[in-house]
Amino acid sequence: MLNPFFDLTDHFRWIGALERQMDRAFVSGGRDESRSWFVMRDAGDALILRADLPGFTEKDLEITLENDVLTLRAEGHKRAFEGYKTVRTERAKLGFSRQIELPVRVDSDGVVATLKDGVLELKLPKAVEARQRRIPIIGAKNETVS
Amino acid sequence: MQPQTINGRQSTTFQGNGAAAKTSERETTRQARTVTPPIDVLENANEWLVFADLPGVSADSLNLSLEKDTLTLTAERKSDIVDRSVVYKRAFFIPNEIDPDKIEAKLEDGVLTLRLPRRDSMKPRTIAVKAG
Repeated sequence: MLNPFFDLTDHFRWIGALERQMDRAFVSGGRDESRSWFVMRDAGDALILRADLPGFTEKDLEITLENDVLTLRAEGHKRAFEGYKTVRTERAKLGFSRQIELPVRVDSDGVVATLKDGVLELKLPKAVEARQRRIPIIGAKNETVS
Repeated sequence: MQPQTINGRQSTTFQGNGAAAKTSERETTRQARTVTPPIDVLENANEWLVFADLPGVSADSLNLSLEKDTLTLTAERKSDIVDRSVVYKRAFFIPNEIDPDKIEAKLEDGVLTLRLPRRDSMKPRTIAVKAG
């Protein structure tokens, strides 16, 4: 982790891998196991989190941000249909709660969440102090200005 | 792709491919990859219901085609800032007891619902008894 060229993207990939392992461990029947249902990327000034949540609507989801911890809670619905017999079940069981520790401080007021076609996208703008800044270099000529 | 039967009674095909039952992914190109969407299947006396998770798919990028007794689902999920594009693909064997003209499909919140009614002749009925 002391590598100065450590890329946040790799960090997120690692989170993704961990999430998949957790899903394997805790969700019987499984979410999409070969593909992360949850992806996070560093988009420069913001972190982008995308989660596949087919069947969920705005009302089912609760997103909270406290310090650097993002909590995603989804309320499940019963899928049993009256009078129907279940023949096959592959889809993930509904309802979960997940905490995600963010690697950088974000501006909680600027967070935007959208849900479309069963995909949640969260845009988390980085706090000003966490953004990349270009450091101006003072050349030898400038030193004589004062 | 081998079509799968949705009919539990023809369960040799149905249960036989346990590996395919799990969502699988196959690398095709670096641009897009094929994903087998997970499904749930329910039935009652009148119909079969199939639910498929297709997150990120809108109705205009979903294609359902029925050829002879095979229903093929193909859907494209466009690439975005976090991931490259995905093609969802799955084929189902539609048993003869289902009326192909009455199949209905609905896509909502990234979930496809297929309603496959049985042929009227296959539905249970009560026979009226005339009083002698």
